[in-house]
Amino acid sequence: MKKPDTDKSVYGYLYHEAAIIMLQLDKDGTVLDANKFLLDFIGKDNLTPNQKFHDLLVDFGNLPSFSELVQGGQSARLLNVTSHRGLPQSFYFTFYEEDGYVLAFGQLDQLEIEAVRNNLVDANAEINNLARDLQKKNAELEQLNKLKNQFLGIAAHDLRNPLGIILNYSMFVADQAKEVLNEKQVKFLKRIKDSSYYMLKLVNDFLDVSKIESGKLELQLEPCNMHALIEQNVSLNQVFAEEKQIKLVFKSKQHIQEVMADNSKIEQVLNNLISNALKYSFPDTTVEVAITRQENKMVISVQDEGQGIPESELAKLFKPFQTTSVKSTAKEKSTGLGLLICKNIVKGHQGTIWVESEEGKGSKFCFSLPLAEPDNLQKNQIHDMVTPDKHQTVQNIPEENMEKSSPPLSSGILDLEEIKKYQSIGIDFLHNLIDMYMQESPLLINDIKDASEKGDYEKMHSTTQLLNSTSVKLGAVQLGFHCDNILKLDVQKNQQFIQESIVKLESLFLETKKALLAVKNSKD
Amino acid sequence: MITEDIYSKYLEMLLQGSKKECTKITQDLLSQEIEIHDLYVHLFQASMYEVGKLWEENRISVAVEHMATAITEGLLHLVYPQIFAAEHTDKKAVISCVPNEYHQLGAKMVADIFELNAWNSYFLGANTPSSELIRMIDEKKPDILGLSMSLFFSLPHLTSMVEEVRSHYHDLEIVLGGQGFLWGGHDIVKKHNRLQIIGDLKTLESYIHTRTS
Repeated sequence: MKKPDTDKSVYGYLYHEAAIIMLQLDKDGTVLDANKFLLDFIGKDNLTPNQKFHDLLVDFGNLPSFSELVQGGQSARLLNVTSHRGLPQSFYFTFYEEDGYVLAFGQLDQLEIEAVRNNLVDANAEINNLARDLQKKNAELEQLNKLKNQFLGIAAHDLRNPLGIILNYSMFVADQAKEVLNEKQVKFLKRIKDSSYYMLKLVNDFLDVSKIESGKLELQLEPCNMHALIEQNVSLNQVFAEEKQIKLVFKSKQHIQEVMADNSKIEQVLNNLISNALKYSFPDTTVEVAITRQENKMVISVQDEGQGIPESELAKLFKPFQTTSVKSTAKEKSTGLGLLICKNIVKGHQGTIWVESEEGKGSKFCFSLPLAEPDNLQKNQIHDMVTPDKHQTVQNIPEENMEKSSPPLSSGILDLEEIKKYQSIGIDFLHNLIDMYMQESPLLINDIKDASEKGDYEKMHSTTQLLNSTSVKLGAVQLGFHCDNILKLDVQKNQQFIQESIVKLESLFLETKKALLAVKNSKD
Repeated sequence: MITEDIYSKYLEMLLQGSKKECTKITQDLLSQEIEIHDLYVHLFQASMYEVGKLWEENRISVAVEHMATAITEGLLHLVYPQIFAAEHTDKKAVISCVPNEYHQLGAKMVADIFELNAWNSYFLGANTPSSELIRMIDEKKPDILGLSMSLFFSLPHLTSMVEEVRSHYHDLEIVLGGQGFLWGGHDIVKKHNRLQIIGDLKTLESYIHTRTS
């Protein structure tokens, strides 16, 4: 029987198959031959003729010489070989000297690799568990943030009515009692008025922000004539511009077609940008509002010759409660929320808002709106509404005057016949209307009935928001029907009182011919 | 206070790959309200420098070094609730490893030191391509960019990354660091403005202070 050639088999296995480094070298450490594993590991192009053993190793300058390594013989020596990916791997090397040649074998420590593998599996499991935990916490935080916005919304809403009352009555007292009040008391009353006005504005902004942040930005899209809207807003702001001796001009550079937009929301943006420009401008400068067409969008810009904003502060302009080092020129206050609201409204219209500013030269705030109607921006679409508006029917308003969406606003002389149609009206309304009117203040009347009884905050808010800003612009007194604490009057039982009041009102109107801005809950 | 005993025990457990023991030692120190700074410099940094040295001297294998790195990186999680909850300024730093650099622990600790000093830091991990770094700088507009090179062999990658960043952002302040600089590469400072090499976490902290005010 023939004895198997074991040596040949072993050599063949080590040369072609085994996951062990095998090198044949001369005494100087020049590589003469290498097995397949080494070539695979370092990359076969990385072994050049006459390459030295040390060239394969990661060397920090502290390696023993090749002869020292060989003298160490068969006690395993830890050395790092650079892989084809350029990364080091540790091998335990042993050296055999034979017939003037050196054979070097390098192997991985399998037990160590096993331990590392186990650790990696554990570490991976731990990271995955942490990631799960984080995702869960994130979801909880989002939930909490929603809750925070709800609280903010409820708090702001409930604060608004009492604040409106404080504002109105402080003005009322200031006027009615001006003859008996001394200078100091008048000053106090003015402080009450100014502070409650500022608080009302803040509370309204809070409501806007909480609505936007909770994803309930509701857009009522309809064809919008931007020209008319800008002209209207510019003329509203003209009073303030004149007060500060600022020239406010509107330049329309091209004819722009109508766009689909939420008129009242876009007006809010315009008003914010224009009043900001006035707020931060000095007398004898110009604020220019312009509208241009650029490809498939329109760009509306409000440019002032004011103080400009430092470049380092531009990024925080559109963030909540961020103030800049730029001060208003007549100590006007700011809630720090206006631009955030603008940004979100413009974003809701799939537009963008930006600012160009140079210190000492002025700022230019621009926003763009897409001209073509985007597929996902359709008429009367309600964006991100979580719940449908269930309380659209506002009590006490005649059927024909009801609207499914928030009511369009019209201005003009109050139609007293309209008031008569209502089944009940606030008793205080009539008293206040008469009293306020006697002061010759412009009047702004909000005849949206108490939607809050139905919990319909959304609806109330959308209407009152514009009313508030308009009344502020005009320095007008706004009378709210929807205040919870205003008494309801039964029309049938109090016909005489109402008749008398209306007659008195009508005579007042005739006598003074003072313009009265009324807001009706009707389509026309 | 990290005593000699605590340190030796920690290093021994780290080299054995005992995450459990290392976690326990770190948690004990945290419960004694140790300064995060001390924990980073005197425990994490000191032990990892030693691990690196042991590997360079061929006294431990790559596998053991990787295990020690993974354990240390995991321990940073214990500290994060404290670091992130602290009051922050609006200063920003982007910290990244260079392409082909797989050692991210040092860079991550640098990012944490920024956080500890009230900065917001954004960390890009190991082997970050230049394009991704540029995108991040574009998005975050940092006050400082920090680049880490752990191995000297990554110097060509670092050089080209710095050049690419400079071609986009001429004035962005750049700091370089990492154990790779122990072997050279300091000439890069002469080629660029507003660029410097920072040797260790302690120097980094003083540097951050000069940039915070």
